[in-house]
Amino acid sequence: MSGPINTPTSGLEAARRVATVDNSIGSGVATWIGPLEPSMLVSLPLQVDVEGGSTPVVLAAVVTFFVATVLAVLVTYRFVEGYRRTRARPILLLAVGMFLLAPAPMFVRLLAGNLEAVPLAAQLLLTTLSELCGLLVILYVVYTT
Amino acid sequence: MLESITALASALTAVVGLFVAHLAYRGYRRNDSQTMRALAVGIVCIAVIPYLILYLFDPVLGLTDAQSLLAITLFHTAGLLAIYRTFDR
Repeated sequence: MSGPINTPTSGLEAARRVATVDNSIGSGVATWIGPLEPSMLVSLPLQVDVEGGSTPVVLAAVVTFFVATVLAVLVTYRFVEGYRRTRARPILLLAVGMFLLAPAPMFVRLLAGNLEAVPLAAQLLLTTLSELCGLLVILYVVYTT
Repeated sequence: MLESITALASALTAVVGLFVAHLAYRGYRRNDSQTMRALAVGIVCIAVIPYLILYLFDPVLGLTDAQSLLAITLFHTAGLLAIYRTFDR
């Protein structure tokens, strides 16, 4: 290691020093990185750990999940809009059924997936029951019209 | 216990979904209703195919969590798109 490490002059210089520092002074580097300015941190590599599959597949799954959620909300909104225009009860029931079938389970996955307090088994049961109730409402509409 | 109830509810969801899709498809054949056809496709994609992916293709093909999730969300998107397209007619 050449030169004192507690007097960084620029972000680039700081990154170079972190990259060339040897293991014997690892703890010193850790305390030194702490007060770095944001401009200096930009040059450090950003690392994200991905579990459950390869990174591209996980990213594609997350993106399509959000697309599906937006579409689910839009479809439900169009049914509600249709009911407000026509005041037809079957369309209102279709809106309720569609909400329980698509957006509601997605919201539950979104919220419960980020809360440690909700166990996975309870989350799965809640989403499945919501879908089942939604389908039963749609079944009633399709059967009676 | 909770897992058994979920498995039962999932199977019931798939069966009810298949029945609703069948009724909607019959409505399409009888009245040539494009809305009913889209509803049938949408319900199959949202309620039936995800069940098959989770309980059939996942164990048989040994899919990763991300692969099953991607397949399910893709079918959700396809089903919702099929229903959404009927609104613009």
